Amino acid sequence: MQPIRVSIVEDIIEIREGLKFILQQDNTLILVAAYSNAEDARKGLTEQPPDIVIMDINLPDGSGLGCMQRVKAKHPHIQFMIFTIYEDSEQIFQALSLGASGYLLKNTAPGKIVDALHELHNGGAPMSSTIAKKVILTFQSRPSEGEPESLLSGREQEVLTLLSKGLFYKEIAVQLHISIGTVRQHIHHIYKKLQVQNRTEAINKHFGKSL
Amino acid sequence: MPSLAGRVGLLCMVMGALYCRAQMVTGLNKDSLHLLLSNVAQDTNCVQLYITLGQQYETNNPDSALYYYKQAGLLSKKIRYPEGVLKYISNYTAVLNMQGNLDESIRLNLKAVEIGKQYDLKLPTAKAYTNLGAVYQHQENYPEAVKYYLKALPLIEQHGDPQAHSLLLINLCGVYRNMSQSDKAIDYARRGLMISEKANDLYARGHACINLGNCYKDRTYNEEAELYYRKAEAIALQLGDVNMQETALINLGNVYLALNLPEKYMPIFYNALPLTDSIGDISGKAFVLLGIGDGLFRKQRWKEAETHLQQSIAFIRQHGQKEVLQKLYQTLSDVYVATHRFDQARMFRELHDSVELTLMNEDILQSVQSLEAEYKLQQKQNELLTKDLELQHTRAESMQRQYWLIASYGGVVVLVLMLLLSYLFYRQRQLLNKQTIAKLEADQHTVRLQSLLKGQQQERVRISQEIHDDIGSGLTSMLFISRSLDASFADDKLVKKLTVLASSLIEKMNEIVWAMRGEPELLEDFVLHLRSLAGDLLGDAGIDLDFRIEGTLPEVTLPTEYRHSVYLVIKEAIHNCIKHSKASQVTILFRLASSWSIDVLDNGVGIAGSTTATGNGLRNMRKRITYVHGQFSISNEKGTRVHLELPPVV
Repeated sequence: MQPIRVSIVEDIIEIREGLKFILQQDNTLILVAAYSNAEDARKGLTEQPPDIVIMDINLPDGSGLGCMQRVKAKHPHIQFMIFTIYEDSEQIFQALSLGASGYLLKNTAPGKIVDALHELHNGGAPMSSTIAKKVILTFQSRPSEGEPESLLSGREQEVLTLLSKGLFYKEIAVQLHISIGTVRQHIHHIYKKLQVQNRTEAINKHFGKSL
Repeated sequence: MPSLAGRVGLLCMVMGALYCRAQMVTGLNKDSLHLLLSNVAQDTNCVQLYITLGQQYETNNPDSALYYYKQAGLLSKKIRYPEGVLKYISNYTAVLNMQGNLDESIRLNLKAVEIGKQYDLKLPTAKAYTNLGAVYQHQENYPEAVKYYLKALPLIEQHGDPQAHSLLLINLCGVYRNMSQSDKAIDYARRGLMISEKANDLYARGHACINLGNCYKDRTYNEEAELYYRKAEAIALQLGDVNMQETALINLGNVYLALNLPEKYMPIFYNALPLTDSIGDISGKAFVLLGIGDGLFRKQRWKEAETHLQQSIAFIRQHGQKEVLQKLYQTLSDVYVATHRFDQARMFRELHDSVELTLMNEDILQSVQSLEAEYKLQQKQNELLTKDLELQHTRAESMQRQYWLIASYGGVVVLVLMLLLSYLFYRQRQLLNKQTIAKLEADQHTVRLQSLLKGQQQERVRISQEIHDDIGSGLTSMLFISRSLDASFADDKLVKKLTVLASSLIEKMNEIVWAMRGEPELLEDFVLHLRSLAGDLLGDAGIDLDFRIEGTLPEVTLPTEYRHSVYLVIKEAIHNCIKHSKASQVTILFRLASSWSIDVLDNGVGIAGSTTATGNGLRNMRKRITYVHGQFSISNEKGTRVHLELPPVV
């Protein structure tokens, strides 16, 4: 199996070094590069695209989200893992709509960080009940206008509903008679559609203004 | 005759405050309407049918009218037809106004406004506002009347129903006349007239002319007043509107009366007399009779004057119009003086005086009543003011409490940070460069935090952001530093402790930030939050979770302190299960009925009775739950059972 190529964007040196250390300890992961500000990250990630970016949002020269959007435009296959101290659902949801595929709290134990990177790379994505509720609201507010590729399938809707009711992945898997891996894949697809939805909305807004 | 002029003013006002309805059709055959009603489906047509039927009953049998309007309302609600509900309200309240049930009328019209806004029905909303204005005008609460009329105005202007528009302007004219602001009154009347002329709406135009005439009469611009009353009379004739014609004539007569021109007002009052009878307008008739009596006296037609005045007095006595009666007595007394019959003259003079006395008494009584009312109002305002003060006082107290709570949290964080700092200095001085020191100078920030926390929520959010950014990133740095230390000194227990401590401090900080932000959280979200917390913690420890909710989750928002206390206690209970119980399963049970309770049960070894019950952790849990007025208990069952009784949040 090919190792997963990971880059880091984090301004605080201890944390950056700590993350590097964690990546170096695991031979399924390869550190591509580590950046300490948004501008360097934008250039570096574009020239040297990894599989996954561990992304801090508050950077000294601006928001990591803007940097992520610009890199995503050139390399849509790069997956961004938001790295945050506080579980601020509003901010996390915004990041997810703009193209992030998951988030990690900074005090997550090293072993779990590695697990989360593997899970993301294998097509899974984390989603809390609060985030699931916000996703449902987003799709409800624009039910008919979306492009076909941005509409949720019946199964995806089921998964979302159960998630929003606070069920854990394994409970959803049991209830829907599918594997946990499949639940994760559904959620991964929901994120993608959420981003399409978000893009469509942005385009509609743009045309709405110019008309 | 000042008091007469005042009365006529009131007469015009009552006619001037026009009530708005969508459509008013009378004179239809009730039987055929009833027949139609029994055949029609339960739809919007049926609603209209009920309304029309009610309108047929309105004059002679208002209670039946109310019944049919109510049916229209009920059916409209059933078939979700908001326009129908509004029709019901406008017609129903018109009857309530006639019956003097003004409070109920106001209540319903306010509801109509609400419905109108909800469904974006501009014209009906505007009409409901107009009707509210008319009711307040009738209650002589003029500022309130103006308020509602002005709310209606932009809506009606947008919609462009010219009749409603000009009638509203006319009502505004009336209110400003009531408040003696004649400039504004004239302005509104002119605008009303202009719109009615443009729309070729005779009805509105007639009313506009009468009101404009009234305004000019108030200012004693008699020629202009005369002109507009004449115009109104001509329009009334064209329309066959007896009400309007009568009002125009009486007001015109009064202009001439004020100018002492009996040749002019006599024929006018004679013309008006049969009209007052045909529409049964008693007060109108009183003024006409008085005018004619005055004219006969001035023309020195003593014999006719005497007969007329005696008949008028007999009529007026029946209907208790005391002001007019007083004037009639006076005029009759004057007639007797002129014809040298002094005994009769004195008798009617005395009658005049006694009525005057009664009127004066009534006036005094009224002033006393209004004074009393004002006193009561003042008293109420004082009570409100006192309550307000008390409320502010309690608020200030609770802010102070929160301030101390947060300050003490801040203090704990600072202490622990300083301890850790010195430890780190001792172990790995070279790793701590200047940048990290700056980031960890959290005590400075905390001092700033304390000075800024003067209670404002905004400030709290801003500061929580700062704690989060500065202390949070500092603690995270520390966590990563301790991990790298752990890698080089793998067998050092203190380093391991440091890692755990840093991680748990971050967690605690997040809880503080969460509590400080004080964002409202729904009960449902809170329960989910607890569930995912329990699932994560127990999952990591390899313990099964059974999470159950009995009863339904009401849609309520939990106060910050309530949710924070309950959250911390449940978390502590879960930690205890993980640390001490050796359980393989934990059950968390929410019961939400008339009272709320939460149970945390495990199937482990149980607690060792009295010794642990006084432990520090348990004492804290009990204190937190008592703080939110709940009860905490812990007992041995098949394992340990922590039971919380909580006051329900409504």
